[in-house]
Amino acid sequence: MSRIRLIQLGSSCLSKANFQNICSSGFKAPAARGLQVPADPTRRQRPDLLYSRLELELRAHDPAVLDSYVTFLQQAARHLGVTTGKLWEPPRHYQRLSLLKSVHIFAKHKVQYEARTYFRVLELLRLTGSTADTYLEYTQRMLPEGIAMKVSRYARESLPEHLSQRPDQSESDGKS
Amino acid sequence: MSFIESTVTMSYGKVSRLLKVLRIAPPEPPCRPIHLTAACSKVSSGRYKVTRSKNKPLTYEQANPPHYLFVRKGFNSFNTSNLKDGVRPSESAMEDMFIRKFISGTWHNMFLSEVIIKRQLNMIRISGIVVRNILPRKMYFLIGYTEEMLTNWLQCPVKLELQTTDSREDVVFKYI
Repeated sequence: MSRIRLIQLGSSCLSKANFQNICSSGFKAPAARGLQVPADPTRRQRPDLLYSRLELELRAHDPAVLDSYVTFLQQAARHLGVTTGKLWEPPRHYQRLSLLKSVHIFAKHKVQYEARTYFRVLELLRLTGSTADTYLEYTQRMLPEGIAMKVSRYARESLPEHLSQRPDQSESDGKS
Repeated sequence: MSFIESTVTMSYGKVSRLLKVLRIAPPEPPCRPIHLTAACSKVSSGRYKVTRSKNKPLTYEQANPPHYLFVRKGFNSFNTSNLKDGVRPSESAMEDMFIRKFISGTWHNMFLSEVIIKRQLNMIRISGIVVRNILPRKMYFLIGYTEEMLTNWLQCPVKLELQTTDSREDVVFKYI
């Protein structure tokens, strides 16, 4: 069984806005903080994708804010009936820089800076595409400033035809 | 004759006191000063000099030097650009500097606290404590003007979330 891995970056420092599009749309824009225009319900829907799991990787400078947001994620999953899997903490990462203190000479005197990144990964199991979209839209709107989220979607695909059938008997005789 | 010829022996301290009375600058004792510490080894960033009259007001953020960041102090800028694999760190920093310059120039001496900049999704939220020394009508104009100009320049929704207070003494933490 092969797996499709789709990575969607939902970081809170995204590229430039498209709020102009929201203002110019025909129907009323969502009241909450501006995101994409909601889907048109009259459009013919394709069958829902099924995901075996969704991995939400969170990164932040502040572990306390990260913990409180993870609590919120778990509560939201409970309310929406989404099964949560593992929650684990990859090792933190400190980026350290030693720069010269003075503009000119005095190389013995340096100043040190540090940027700390803390991680948390939450796994959600067995979701449909629409559940995943709803859950992610809700949680991403509620992302605190300073927390970045990376979403990895894992789905299962059936084996392709050229691998599911045995090769021809004449071919194998010719090779041997 | 003996009076003129006799020499008066005085200690160096008495000589300097006599010269002070006579308003003559005393000669420096023979010495050559040396630097025991190099010129820039003392950290002076974010620290304020104590005044003689102890009437210089300091806010809580000014009273705590930069090594207390994340210990006693919080940050003034919340974004995800400096996380591991974060995007556009330099652009965010330049935008923050521009916002702070613009705010300090538009709101003349009215911001009592630091300008707090939060980036959430595609929005920039600017907060701070402002003193109520102008009419509310003028304050509404300043808020709208700031939001409009910054939105146009930074190309994303900018919202001002201000708190106002009557007197400047409300934000003073200590006097030095």
